[in-house]
Amino acid sequence: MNEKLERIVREIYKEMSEGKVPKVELKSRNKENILFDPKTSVWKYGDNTVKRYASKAASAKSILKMLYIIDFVDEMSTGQKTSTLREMYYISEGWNLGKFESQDESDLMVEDLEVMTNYLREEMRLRPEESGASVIGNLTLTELNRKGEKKRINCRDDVGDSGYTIPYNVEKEKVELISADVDFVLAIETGGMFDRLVENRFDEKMRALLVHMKGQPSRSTKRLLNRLNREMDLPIVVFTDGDPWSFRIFASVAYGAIKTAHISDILATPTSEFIGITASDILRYDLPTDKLTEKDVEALHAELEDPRFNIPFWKGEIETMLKLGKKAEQQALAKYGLDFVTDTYLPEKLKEYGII
Amino acid sequence: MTELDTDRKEVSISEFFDKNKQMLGFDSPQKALFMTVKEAVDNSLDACVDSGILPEITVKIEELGKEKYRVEVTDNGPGIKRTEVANSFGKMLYGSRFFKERQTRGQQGLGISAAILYAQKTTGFPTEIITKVEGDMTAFHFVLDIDIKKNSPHKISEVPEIWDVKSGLKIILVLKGKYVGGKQSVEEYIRESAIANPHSTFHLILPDKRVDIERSIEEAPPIPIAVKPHPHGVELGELISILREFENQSIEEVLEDKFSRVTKQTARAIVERCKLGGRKISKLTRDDFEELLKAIRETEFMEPKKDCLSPIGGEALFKSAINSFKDYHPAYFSQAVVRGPFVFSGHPFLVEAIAIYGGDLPKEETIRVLRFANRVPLLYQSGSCAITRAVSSISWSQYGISQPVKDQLPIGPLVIAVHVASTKVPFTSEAKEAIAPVPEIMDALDILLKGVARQIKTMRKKEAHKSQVAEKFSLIEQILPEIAAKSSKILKVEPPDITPIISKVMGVVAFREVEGELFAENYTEKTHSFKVVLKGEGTFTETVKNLKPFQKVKLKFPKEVVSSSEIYADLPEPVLLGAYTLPKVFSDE
Repeated sequence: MNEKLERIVREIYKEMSEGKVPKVELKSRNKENILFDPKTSVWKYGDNTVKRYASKAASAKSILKMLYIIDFVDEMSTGQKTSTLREMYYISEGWNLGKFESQDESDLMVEDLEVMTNYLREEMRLRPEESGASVIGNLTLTELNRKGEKKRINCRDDVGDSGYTIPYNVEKEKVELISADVDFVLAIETGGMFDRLVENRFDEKMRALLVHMKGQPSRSTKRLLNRLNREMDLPIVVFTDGDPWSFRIFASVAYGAIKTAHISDILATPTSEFIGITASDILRYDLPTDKLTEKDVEALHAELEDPRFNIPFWKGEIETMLKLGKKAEQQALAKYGLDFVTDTYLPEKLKEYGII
Repeated sequence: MTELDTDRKEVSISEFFDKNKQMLGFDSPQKALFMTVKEAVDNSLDACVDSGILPEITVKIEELGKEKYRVEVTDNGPGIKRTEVANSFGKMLYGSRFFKERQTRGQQGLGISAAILYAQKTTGFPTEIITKVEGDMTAFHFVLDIDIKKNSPHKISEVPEIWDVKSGLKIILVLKGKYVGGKQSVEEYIRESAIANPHSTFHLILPDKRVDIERSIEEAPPIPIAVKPHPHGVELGELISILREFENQSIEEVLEDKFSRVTKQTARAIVERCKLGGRKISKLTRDDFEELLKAIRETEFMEPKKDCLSPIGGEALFKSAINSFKDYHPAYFSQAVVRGPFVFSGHPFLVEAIAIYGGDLPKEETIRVLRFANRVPLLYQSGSCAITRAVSSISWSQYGISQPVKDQLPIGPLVIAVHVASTKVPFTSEAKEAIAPVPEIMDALDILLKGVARQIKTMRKKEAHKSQVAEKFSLIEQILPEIAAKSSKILKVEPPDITPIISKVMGVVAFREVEGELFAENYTEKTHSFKVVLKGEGTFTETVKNLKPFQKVKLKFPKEVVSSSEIYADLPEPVLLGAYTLPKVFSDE
C-alpha cells in the first residue's frame, strides 16, 4: 500500500485506539486559502488547515468514505487495474454508509486525498471520463502500454491525421519524453482550427508541435504542456477564440486553476504566451464578430479583478474587448481564405512575440 | 332551499324527476353514475349497521357501450324479505322519518328509487335485485321497474336462485353514465367511505382497475339510538304533520308524548302561552300552528339527549387513516380528536377530525380536506361547506403551514378529514352536498381544527428533534463502528474498542422514540436524575432517578402521548438530545 495513503489510515486507527475522536486534517480548500503566488505566478494553497472530526455524522461519513477510497485504490494497484472517477462513483454503491451521493462528491474527495498526500489522482489509478487531447509534430516519446511494454512513438510519423492521443496519466512512469525537433508548442482550443493547421502542414512548415486542447484542457493535457516546457525547454503558445472564456483557458494553462491549486506546480506553465485571438486582433484584422452577451461582459469584469490577469497586456485587452462589445472565433480568420491563418496571421504574430 | 314538491299528486313522477334532476344529483352522466353507486353503497352500509354486520361491499362497474354502464353492488347485509323488495326499491317517497330522529346516512333526494328510475329512463333496462335473508333456503332474483303513471313498483319477474351466502343483497342497474377518475369519482367516494366506515371492507372493480380496501377495525359501530325530536329542532311543517297524525289527542298530550324533554307542566305552559288551551287539533289554523311554534321557541327545555350520536371514534379513525394513507408514507398522523356532543337548534351534533402530514403527499398543492356528514363522504360543493370554511378560516401560518391567501385553504403536504355527525345535519340544499355554516357547528369546528393544527405543529417540531437523534445514533451505532472496522481491515489489525469515543461524541442524555415508546439513554460520563415532562393535549410527568452512564430506561408514557407531545427534561441544553430543557415555569409546578 502507498505509504502516504496508509499514513492517513494509521492516524485514524491510532486515535480510535487511544479513545480519541478520529479526524482527518487537510489544507483548507475554501477561496480564502487559495492565494496567487506572485513569485511562481500560479495559484497555491495558503497555510490554513481544516480538521474534520468524526463527532458529526457528516464528517464521520466523509472519513469513512475516504477509507473506502483508500481501500479501493489499494485493491486496484494490487490487481494492476485503473478505474474512471465515474466507475468509482458507481462502485461506491456497494460501500454501505460510504456510498457517495453524487459524482461531484466523490471527485471532490479524490482531490481531498491529493491535497492531503500530494499523491496524484492519476497515480491512484483514477482517471477522468473524457479521453485526452491530441498531439501532432516531431516529438518522440515512449508510452508504457497495457502489455507492460514501452512503446516508442513519433508524434508526426507514427500517427494518423488525428494525432497521438494523450493518456490520462502522463507522469514519467507512463510517458517518457525522448526528443523533440521543434521550436515551440502551439496549444489550440478548437478542433476545427487544429485540423486546419494539420491539413496545412503547419507543424512541418513552422517546426511546431500542435496540441489540441479540446476546449478547457484536461489535467493530463496541462501536465504534458508543463513537462514539454520544463523538460524539453519548449515555449508554450496558446491559440484560442477571442472571448472571455478562452482567456480563462489560457489562464488555467499558464497559472493553474483554483480547483487544482494543490498541484499548480506541476500543472501550470507560467511562461506560456497568449497569441490570440486578442481584442486588438479583431480591430487589426477586421475580423467578423459576435456581440458580447451579458454573461460575457460579466465574465470580463470578473477577469479585471482576477490577479492572473493583473498585467498591462491583459488589462488592455479586456478593456478593449469591453469597449468593442464584440468577440471573435478562431475560425473568423477564414474570412481571408483557408491559408490565411497559417501563411499570414500566425507567422506575423509569432514573429512579434519573438518565437520565430 | 328547494322543498320537494310532494303535495302535487297530479304531477307525474317522471315529470317530477325531470324537474328535480339537479337536486336529485342526476344532472350529468358522470354524476349519475356516481350517485347510483353512492345510493346503493349507502343503503348497504346502513343495512349492515342496523343488523350489526361488518360490511363487505363489492362495487363492479362495466362499460357496455358509449356512455352505457352496468353497475353491480353486492353486500353481505341482512338482505330484504321478498315481500318488501318491491316497495323498498320501487316506490318513490316511501316511508317517513318525521317522528323519530337518529343519526343515519339519510337518503339523498329519493335515494335508490331515483337511481332505478334514472336507469329505466336512460337505457330502458329494468333493475335486478338478488337478495337473501338469513334462514332462507334460497335467494330471490327480482327484475323490477317503476310504473311511472302509478308511482309504484312494477315487478317483472321473481325467481328463486341459489346464492351461497348467509344473507346479502345484490343490485344491478344499467344506466347512461360516464366513468371518470379524480376527486369526484366513484373510486374517491369508496376510498373516503372506507375512512369514515373503518369497519367496512370494499372491493372495487372498475373498468380500468381493481381496488381492495380491507377494514381497519373488527368491531361494528353501535346501532344509532332513535330519539324523539327536541322541540327546539322542529320546523312548522313537521309540527303540523305530527300534531295532525294524533289529532284525537290534546295538544298538550302530543307535545309531551312525541317530543323529548317536554314535561306535563311545560306542555301546559306552552299551550297557555299561545292561548290554545282546550282547542282541538283538527280545528287549528295555520296561524294557530305558527303561534304554537312561537311559544315552543320561547320556552326553555333541557338540552336534547346526546347519547344517540355515534362518532367514528378516535382510535377507529386513526386506524382507518393509517390504512388509507399508508401508500403516501406520511411523516405523521395527528391523533383523531372527537369533540361534542353539542347542540344547535335542538339537534345534537359532534365533530371529529384527524390530520395526516408529510411523506409523499404533494407539497406544492392546496391541502386536501375530506368532508363527512354522518359517515357519508361529501365530494361536491366543497366551497360552500362549513367544513371547508372552518379549515380556511384558521390562520395556518401560526401552525407552520403556508397559507398564501387569508381565509383560503393552505398549501402543503396535509390532509384533514373532518366528520360532522348529527341527528339532523344542516345541509345547504336538498342535494345534501355541503353542510350549512351554522354558528354552533362553525365554533365547534374551529376549536376542533385548532387542536389538530396544534398537533401538526408539535409534530413538526418533534421532527427536527427526531432527525437530530437519528443522526447521532447513526453516528455511534453505524458510522463509527464501520470506521473502526474498515481502518483495521486495511491495516490488517484488530478493531479498536470505541466505547470511550461514543460518550465523547454523544455527551448527552438522549431521548429516543422506538416503535412509539420513549427511552432515555445516558451517554454522558456522569449519573443523572431528572424529570421528564410531555406536553401535548395534556401534561404528563415522569421522574428518572440515577441513570448511570451507558444506561437506558424505558419511560412509562402511553404511545399516543409520546407521539403527540413535545418532550421536556430538566437537564441543561448541552447535555440534552431529542428534548427541550424544561422551562422554569413548568419545573416549579
